Amino acid sequence: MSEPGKTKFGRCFIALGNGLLNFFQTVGEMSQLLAATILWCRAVFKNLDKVLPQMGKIGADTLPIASLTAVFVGFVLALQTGVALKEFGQEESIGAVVSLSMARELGPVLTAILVIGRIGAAITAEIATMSVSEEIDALKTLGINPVRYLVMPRFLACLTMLPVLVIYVNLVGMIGGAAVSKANFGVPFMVYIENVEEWLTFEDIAKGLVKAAVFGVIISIVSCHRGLATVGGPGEVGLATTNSVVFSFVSVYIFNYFVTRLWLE
Amino acid sequence: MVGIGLDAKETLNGTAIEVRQLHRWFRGNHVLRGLDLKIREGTATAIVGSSGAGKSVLLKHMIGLTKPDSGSIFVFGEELTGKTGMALEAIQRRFAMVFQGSALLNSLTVGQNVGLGLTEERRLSRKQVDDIVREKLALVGLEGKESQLPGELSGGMKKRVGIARALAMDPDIILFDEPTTGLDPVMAERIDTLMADLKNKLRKTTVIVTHDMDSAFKTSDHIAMIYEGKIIEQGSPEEFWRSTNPTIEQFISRFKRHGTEEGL
Ligand SMILES: Nc1ncnc2c1ncn2[C@@H]1O[C@H](COP(=O)(O)OP(=O)(O)O)[C@@H](O)[C@H]1O
Ligand SMILES: [Mg+2]
Repeated sequence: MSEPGKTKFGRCFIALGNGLLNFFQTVGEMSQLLAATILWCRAVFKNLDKVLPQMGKIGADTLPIASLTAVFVGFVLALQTGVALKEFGQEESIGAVVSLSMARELGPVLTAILVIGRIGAAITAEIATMSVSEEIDALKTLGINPVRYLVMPRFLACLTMLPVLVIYVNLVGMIGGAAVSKANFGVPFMVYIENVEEWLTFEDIAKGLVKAAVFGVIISIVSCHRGLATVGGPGEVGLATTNSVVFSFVSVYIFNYFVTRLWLE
Repeated sequence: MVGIGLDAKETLNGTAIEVRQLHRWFRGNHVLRGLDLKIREGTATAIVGSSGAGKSVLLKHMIGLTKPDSGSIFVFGEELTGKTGMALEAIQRRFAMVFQGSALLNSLTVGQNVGLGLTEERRLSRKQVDDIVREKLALVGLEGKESQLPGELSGGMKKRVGIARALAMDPDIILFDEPTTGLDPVMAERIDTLMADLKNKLRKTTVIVTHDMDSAFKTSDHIAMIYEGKIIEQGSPEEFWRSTNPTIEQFISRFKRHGTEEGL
């Protein structure tokens, strides 16, 4: 029998195995980082000088693009559903469709995508740069725990700011939907609002916010971990950032699918 | 090799750091190959060797920033290897390190960088930290540069900020990774004097990695040379100067041609 490394199939098999091992090792390390980060959250009040600026940064960096995205998604949702509903003379139900889509799925997922692109990538690039220029080592020699100093503030900022952003995105999306309903289908604002009130439950909103908070956890931990795990020269920073963004996207999509399925059962 | 004088000295000074049979690989690259080294308390030890010999890697093992594949490191008699978390941090608190690439936090000002360890420790008031920052910056010739950002400084200035940051923590042991590389001769001289003062006046233990033989001869009581992952020769500067080991002779020949023995 030939050695597994010698045949084409064998090499593929080994590569696949290594890839899987790497993946599970990464997930394991991320879980450890999450646990350490949660433990450090006890020191949140002593570290507000680092947590609050991170929260501010997330807000400032994502609000413009979040507003733009939300209002156009609201427009398009209302437009598409409006055309379909008009065939049955049901234009007044546009509010229900727009608000439920936003609150349950589009609000949390779109916000997560924005935050991954705008904040997650920046976190990885910043921390990876610090890793390759020995700044993380320098922190340790100064008696500063990098998880406390770097990860915990970003974790808490993402955890709290994602739900806040989602509330905002939902609201702006519904306003966009209302505008199109009125302009294109002649639905008065009061009719739209009453329809939203009739269909949208507190549970829909709350579930969306819980999703958003978990997305915040995923994005912050993945981004920080990819940054801290970067070794080598400055050339590795770009690679780490791309890697981190892809990893965050995949994790968010998978989590979103399974939690949605669970809640629908 | 090791002279007779050393045994007498050893009774005067305890061992600050002891490295035993240290092995370290990076993938296929066997960088440290069973390295042994003792650093005595209150002395200045220079570690020399060509670039890529593993000097920086050795320093990082001493301070516990990276773990050996095998072998052990003792700091003031306590084993560092295998320690994690609080226990490791307690030992690390006795150290400070000046990084080869200075490793300043780019998002913080010079003053915040120098005071970072103290600020985060939260033992001293803001005013006390500011005073220490001012004092340490003056020591390295950077008075009044507190509010500048690292990006606005030259490489040599950054290096001196790194030295000020290490001094601010008032550690027992200071590891210098190429502190004078890239400095102009006047500033290099000043840093050499500063390092000598740390040992002579403040009784600190210093370990100085350098390939500047001039600096090594001037600032240290003990010189050790890394070659092929081991300490191939060590001793006092005089012993080192007179060494007949061909590798050492080759290494210091360039310096010998320029300097004179009286210059020691
Ligand atoms: N984190 C690392 N990953 C891989 N190789 C490394 C790492 N750090 C150092 N090395 C390798 O170890 C060797 C010694 O490096 P170093 O200690 O930096 O040399 P120097 O004596 O110039 O300070 C070099 O070949 C370097 O490529
Ligand atoms: Mg080096």
